Amino acid sequence: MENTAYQIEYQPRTGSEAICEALLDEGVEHLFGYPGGAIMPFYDALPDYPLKHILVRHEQAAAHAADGYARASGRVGVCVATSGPGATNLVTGLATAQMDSVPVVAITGQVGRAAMGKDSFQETNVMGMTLPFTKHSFLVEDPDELYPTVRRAFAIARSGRPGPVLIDIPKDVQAAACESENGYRRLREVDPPVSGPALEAAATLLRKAKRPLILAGHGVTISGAERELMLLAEKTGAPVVTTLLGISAFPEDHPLYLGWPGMHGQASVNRAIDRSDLLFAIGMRFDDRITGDPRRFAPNAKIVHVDVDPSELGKVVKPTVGIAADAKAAMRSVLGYLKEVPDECFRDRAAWREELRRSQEPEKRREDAARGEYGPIRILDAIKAAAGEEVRLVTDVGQHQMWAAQFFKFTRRNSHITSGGLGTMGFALPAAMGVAFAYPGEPVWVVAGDGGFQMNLQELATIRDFGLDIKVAILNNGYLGMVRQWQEFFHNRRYSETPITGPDYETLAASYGLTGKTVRPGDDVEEAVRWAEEQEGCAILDFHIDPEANVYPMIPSGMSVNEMIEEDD
Amino acid sequence: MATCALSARFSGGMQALSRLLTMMQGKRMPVLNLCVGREAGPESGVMRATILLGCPPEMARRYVALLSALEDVEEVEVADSTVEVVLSSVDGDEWRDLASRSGVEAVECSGTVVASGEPGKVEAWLAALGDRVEDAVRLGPVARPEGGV
Repeated sequence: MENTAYQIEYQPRTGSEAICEALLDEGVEHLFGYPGGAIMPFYDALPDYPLKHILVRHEQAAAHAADGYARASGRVGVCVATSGPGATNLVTGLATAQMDSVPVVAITGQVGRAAMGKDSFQETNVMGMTLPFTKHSFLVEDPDELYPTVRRAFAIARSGRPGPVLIDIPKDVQAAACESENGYRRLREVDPPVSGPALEAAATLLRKAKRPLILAGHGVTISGAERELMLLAEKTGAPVVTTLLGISAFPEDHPLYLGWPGMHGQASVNRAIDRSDLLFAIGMRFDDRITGDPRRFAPNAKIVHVDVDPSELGKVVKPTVGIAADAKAAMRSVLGYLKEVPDECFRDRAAWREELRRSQEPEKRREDAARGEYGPIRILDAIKAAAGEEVRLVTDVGQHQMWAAQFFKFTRRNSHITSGGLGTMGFALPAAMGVAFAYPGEPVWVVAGDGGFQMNLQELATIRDFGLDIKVAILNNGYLGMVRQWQEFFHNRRYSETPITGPDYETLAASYGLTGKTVRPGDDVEEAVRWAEEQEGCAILDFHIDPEANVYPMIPSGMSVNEMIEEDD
Repeated sequence: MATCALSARFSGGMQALSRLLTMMQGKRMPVLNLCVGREAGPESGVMRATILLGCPPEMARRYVALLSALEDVEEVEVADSTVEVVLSSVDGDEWRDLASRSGVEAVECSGTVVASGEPGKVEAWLAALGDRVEDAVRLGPVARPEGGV
């Protein structure tokens, strides 16, 4: 048999190939994007690599899908767009990711180097444009720098406090040959050092408090610290409340779970914070929707604030003890300090928990009464019953978002996905695509308003193309409901430009090759939801709800718990 | 007004400078003055910025944390002391004696009087010169190398 000598020849790679190799080396499987002139060399290289590209119908959706993918999976989401309008369309999605600390890498094409700075066709300064809401950004002008830059972008996006990173690449750099092999010195991603004395002080405060509350935020989920949160709560008997983004970091059927505070959080939780003598806040940033007037927030409490970002400490609320640390590392450390403390030391908290339980009774009664009526609570209950405990709920922004946060009982970790900080209408549908790609075969429901749903409904085509099994519930009140509610409360019911029309969603679904159903008062909600579950692929339920239903309670912006508007007011 | 000078060392050229400025503007830092200089020759990518904030050092801690978090920023610290540098066009020769009496170093370079010293002393020197100052450009306050220690 003839021996064959194989000679491996070095094949010069293009910049685009270097990008693809870096993506593969980062373990990327999915990219959400939309091609265009200045990103064509990258798209020309893409089919040669085992990277699954999801062609969206608008670049904003690519950014939200990458965001949803990242939130659900804990991995870095990737989106791609061309220069000019492609890049500007990413902006809302990147700002959404920045506000909620989500790791996303955005790759944008740029006009060729010779054309830059000359107002060339589809040229924008995307780096300048996105400076305020990216964690970092790169303009890569040397093809040999592409591989290490992409790798570095991923490291930056996921390390410390995660966030979006943009890589802008001129077209000719994508097409140019690389002269060097891939070289990348892996960055050591280290957590900031955890301060021992501060954590010991935090543990002491937690031990001595009579009316403690643990306030858990998104940082707990990002850090994967749900178990530590549970251990800390159970060790100390301290009730747990969460931020909006912290919902599902702690199971809502746990006896120590209380709810979430803030502008539309439960009244009992707002009052609990008002009464507590220690707020152990972890992985959160005292958003103004939580605090209202920060001078009157938690007036009786000492505050322990743990956050991985040191610039958050003291930004809004001055903590008694501020600790710049990863949530998991910090809670482990505090648990270590409390290890030797006998459980009896925490027994006197039973009275505090009983007081809190009693304070919840009126709202539970109201909630139970509403359960049987046609409306948001019954719809959410029906979704939970039909889709099961495993469902991931992706909500848009507005009244429905608050109802879902209040009434959908989240028991699975990281099963509540929403745009909190930026409050981006149009987020839910594309973000749900990202969630569906992160967890194929697992149940995903979108709950949206009729306003927000129309902002990115073009993605129904993407959902159909990829056969994504996403169920959609539109809570259709014919208004921009939350704005209308503010107009009702604070602008003498002048409903200026908030009534909004939309398409016939059944027909819309059919036009995309999907199924849809209209559900009106008096119809069987549970049957409709079961019908949606039985459909193959995406199904849309258009629930016509009370046009003037309100979200209660409501703390007017900048006010405190004392000015809270409740349903009976 | 309480002030606090920060000294930031960063690389990355104009992009890094843009990011620094965007952060300062976006987070509404009370910037009274900003002075940027190169650490080495024109090819050096390392720059130093002295940022004079209108707040006491304890309030500047958050700003230090925010600036430190920028990828391009290698180091941020509160500057122990600063020096004011003034390029001026001055009539006559009296500026030499006044500089000496004010504790300001001043030399003439191609017709421009270059003066430096503690910010208060430089201001006092300029005030003493009065109308004899035809034009003046204040470059500082600039953090002294190594914090002036």
